[in-house]
Amino acid sequence: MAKVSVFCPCSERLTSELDDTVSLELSSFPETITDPNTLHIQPDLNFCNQCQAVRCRKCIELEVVTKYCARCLHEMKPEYSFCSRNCLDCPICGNNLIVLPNKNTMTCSMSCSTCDYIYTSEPLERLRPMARVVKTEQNKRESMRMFSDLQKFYLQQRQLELGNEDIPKSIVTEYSKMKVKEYGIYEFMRRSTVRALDEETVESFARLANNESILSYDIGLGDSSRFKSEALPLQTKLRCKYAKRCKACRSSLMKPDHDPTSVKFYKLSNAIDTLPSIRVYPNPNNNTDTSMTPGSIASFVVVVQNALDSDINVNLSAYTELPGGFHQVQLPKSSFTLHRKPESHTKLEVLIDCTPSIELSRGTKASRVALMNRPVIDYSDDDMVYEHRQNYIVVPMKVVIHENSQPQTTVKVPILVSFKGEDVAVAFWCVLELGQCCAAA
Amino acid sequence: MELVDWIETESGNRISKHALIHGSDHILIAGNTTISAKVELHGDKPLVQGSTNAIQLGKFCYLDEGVVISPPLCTGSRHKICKIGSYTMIGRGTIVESANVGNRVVIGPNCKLHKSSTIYDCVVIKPNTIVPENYTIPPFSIVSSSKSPGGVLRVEHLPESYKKVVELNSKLSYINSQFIPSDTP
Ligand SMILES: [Zn+2]
Ligand SMILES: [Zn+2]
Ligand SMILES: [Zn+2]
Ligand SMILES: [Zn+2]
Repeated sequence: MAKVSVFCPCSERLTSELDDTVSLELSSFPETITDPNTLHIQPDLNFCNQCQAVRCRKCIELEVVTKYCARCLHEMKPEYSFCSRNCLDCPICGNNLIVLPNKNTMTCSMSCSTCDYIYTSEPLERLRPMARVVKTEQNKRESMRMFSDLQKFYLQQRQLELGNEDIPKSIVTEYSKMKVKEYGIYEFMRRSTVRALDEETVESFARLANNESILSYDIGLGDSSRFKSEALPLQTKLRCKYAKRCKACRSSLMKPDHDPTSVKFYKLSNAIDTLPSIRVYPNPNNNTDTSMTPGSIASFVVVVQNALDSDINVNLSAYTELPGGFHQVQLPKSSFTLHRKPESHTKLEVLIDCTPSIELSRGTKASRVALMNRPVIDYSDDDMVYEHRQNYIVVPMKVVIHENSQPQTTVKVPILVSFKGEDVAVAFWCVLELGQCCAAA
Repeated sequence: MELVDWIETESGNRISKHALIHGSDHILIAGNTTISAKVELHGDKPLVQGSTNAIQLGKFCYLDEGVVISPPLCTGSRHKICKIGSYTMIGRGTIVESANVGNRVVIGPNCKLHKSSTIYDCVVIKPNTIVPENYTIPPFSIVSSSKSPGGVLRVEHLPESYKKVVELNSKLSYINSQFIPSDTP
């Protein structure tokens, strides 16, 4: 099956006169359609009813609904960035830590689910969330102390510059002396726990910069016994649940239930529920050419299926002039009406009845019976409608493979799909990736 | 595979005659579920006190060839139930020892879900992914392993449309008796 992407025009340059009817015609070929970032599979898109247009992740706005921990699925306060309960991650591989059965009641041990990292806490006087135990331990560590010393130094220096009077006179005089020397920071480092880089460290940094010692650096990382005693667990980062809005008109496109475990929505406007579904297969008739060699005509079968509860008129069109990189498309049957999606379309019998014959295998009794009750389709004639029933149609498509196509490049063709229904009138570009171009025989 | 190789139950379950089902008294299957050849269901493990079921499968589950499902080991040598929700598809050769797999989940071929992992609803797990012990995957996630061995799991947001897409594909998989993967962004 070919990959079908829908083009989102939000990266197009704005024309001086915005005219909505323009997009419904074939008068302009979008400039950015060759950019893969503008192409999305249909389930990745929303649809804005207000704007009557698809919306991709670039043209929607996200709003945080809930912040929660992805490990314990507890809702967290919006100002938090990490799980404040017992979830911790491995500092070596990043996967989850598991609490080990407790032999010594005073400490808590955790092991990594994936690598052999083990963490044992300092003796605990009372029951506390593990996230806090680790945070306290981290604050006591040399590197953290050095950081907080440095932070204190800069804060004080800033206050000094602002002429803040709250600082005791003795300190002010001390710092003013340093300032005169213009080596304030070195002086401070000499006296505090913050150490200046020694020669050896400077050298090793220089070597790292020269890429010389990357190898020995790797060996250091592999020596996990060193980390076992040294590295503290990482706090688990929080994840967000978002709501979506259309950037153009600000209307809501999706609003989920706030509970992290829930999959309910209060508002949901997906492209798959409005746009007809387009699926493309190589022509199943053995005598047709599907090899896609330069200059040949390859034969395909296109399924178009209505997603709406009302009938729609559909028009498929292909661009007649060739913009760079694309191949020429012929669609002999391009205008048709599709019936509404039947009621209870998720029921098995109805679903089978709404499945095109080309998508039914003979693998089960149900699909065999369905195929037996339908007329046999002759795919050898590529100028006729193959199947037109329920809410779908199956039509032929021929693609003239560009003479100058390079072998092993993907054959991509753009088609414009426009449809009109009760309350909708939309046109959208699809890019079909039909497979690899073959070398000429 | 020929139609004669399958047993179809009254509730629409399709079970291959070449599936290996152990301890069927401890296995619950809702209906319209497909169990392919060489699938192993280990319902014969000793259970924790108070449990009667070892494996529970929802409706329209699709277990492709060679899938292995074992209830997770709990305390001592006792196991607790492995629950798998509805419209959930599991690809060829994947091993599941999870405590819970939600509704509308696609697990690609050759994955391993280690014991007591929990997969919430509407999740797509890419082929060859290893989910560690006790790991939890929140709803609407795409999960894949990073390339390096023992690497960290990548968990990204799955678009909301997949709630419908996966359900539809699970039914089409049932109708056609073949694993229909759900393409993701
Ligand atoms: Zn967009
Ligand atoms: Zn947590
Ligand atoms: Zn680890
Ligand atoms: Zn809008």
